[in-house]
Amino acid sequence: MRILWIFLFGALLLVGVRARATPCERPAFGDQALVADLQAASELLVYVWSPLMPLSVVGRDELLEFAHEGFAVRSVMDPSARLCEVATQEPRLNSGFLLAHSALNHFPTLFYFRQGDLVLTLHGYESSDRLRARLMSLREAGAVVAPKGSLP
Amino acid sequence: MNKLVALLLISLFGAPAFAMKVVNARVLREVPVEGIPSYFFKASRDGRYLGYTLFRNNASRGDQNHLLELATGVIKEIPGRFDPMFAHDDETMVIPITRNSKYTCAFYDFENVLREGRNAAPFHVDDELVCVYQSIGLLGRTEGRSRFRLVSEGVGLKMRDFNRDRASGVIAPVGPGKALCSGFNLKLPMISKDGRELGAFDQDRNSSVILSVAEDGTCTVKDVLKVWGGKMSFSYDGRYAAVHVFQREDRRLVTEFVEVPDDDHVANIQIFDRKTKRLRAVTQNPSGNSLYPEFTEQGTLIYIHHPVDKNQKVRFVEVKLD
Repeated sequence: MRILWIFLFGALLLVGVRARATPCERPAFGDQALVADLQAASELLVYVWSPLMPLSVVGRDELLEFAHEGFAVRSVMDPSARLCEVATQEPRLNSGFLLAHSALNHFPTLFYFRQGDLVLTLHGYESSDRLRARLMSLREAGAVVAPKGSLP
Repeated sequence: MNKLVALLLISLFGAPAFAMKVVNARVLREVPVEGIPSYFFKASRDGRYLGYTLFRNNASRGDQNHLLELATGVIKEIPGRFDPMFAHDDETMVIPITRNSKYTCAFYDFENVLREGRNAAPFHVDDELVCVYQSIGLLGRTEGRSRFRLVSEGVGLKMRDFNRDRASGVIAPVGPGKALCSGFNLKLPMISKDGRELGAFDQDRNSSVILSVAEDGTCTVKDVLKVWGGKMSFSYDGRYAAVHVFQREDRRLVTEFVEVPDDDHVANIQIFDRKTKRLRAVTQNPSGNSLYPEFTEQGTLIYIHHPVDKNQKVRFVEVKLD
């Protein structure tokens, strides 16, 4: 039995070396990139969207307004290989942290980080007026809001 | 070959993630779709027709709603650019249109949509609700009249009831819109088929939830599903609710050993039995995404499946649950 397990682990390692697949040439937005963004900005909005969800496209355009209101804005695309040929410079989502925080639950999903802490995960489109009110309320609440997760 | 071995090993190591009991789901049909449909779609009450959006380009300029007749595969363009909804009376659809720079809910006669396609004109346009994430329930129907409850999330959750005269087709709102579920922090709302309950993602509870809806728009939590689910669908008898759930545990379990394609984030369909309060798995995909399940009146479940291999067509799948 032990030999079987050793064999299986060995096979896993071997397959791990060979099974790598990068189906898309589009650059990936991983945890390293996320950390870099967090280090560069005290308030960061990460917006995960998909061309296959039309309202998420609308929200992406509207989100750019927030770049003028003290938020750093990062727009990240659906990682589906089906969208590899879509003409955009945006990176595709590949952050383990964001995926573990339900980034794919719905497009769009918006993450709001403050001082490196995740304070809001918002699923679904929200009009810019309502989103502004929500974000400003959280901003004013400051440290009172319990952070929901930090990158290691 | 390596991919097959990888998938086999993923399944073995992902076994803990599949510890949830599985519903016996028999596939009735799989209908591949040309092009790239959007993730979200809806089905008519009898499951004969599906409404969905066909992606045209990444700027969503030129996306177009379509109607697919499942049995024949016949596809027709219909009005609107996203979120076509059936009103469960076999006679009405509700589709967002843009009017005066605002998303507005337009009511269409379904027979007219079948006949005229994208050129069909709405017979009523609501003047109040902002038509974002709209859904519609059938509160009741008599020989002379159908009564609907329309919900939307445009400027906060709102609901508005309508009566439609079945002889003349004329529809009229029953009073102004009302705030819905005030005090709750809800996203992704979906009204139940009978208009009396709401499925949503509760930002505060961090879970998909089911709430009852009173006539004045106040809500009470009935079930907390304890999952991060997508938009919910209720069965016509109200006993079941279905959501898709993206699974993360299997990837985390195997990422130390096996490099999976990094666009492969698995989503499966889960069904919540409101009588037993238990979640069951309907699908057990080792890869790919099964999304946005929708019940038919016969109790079958239809969902959209996006295979991870982009060379395989997206397909609609209808299953019978035992």
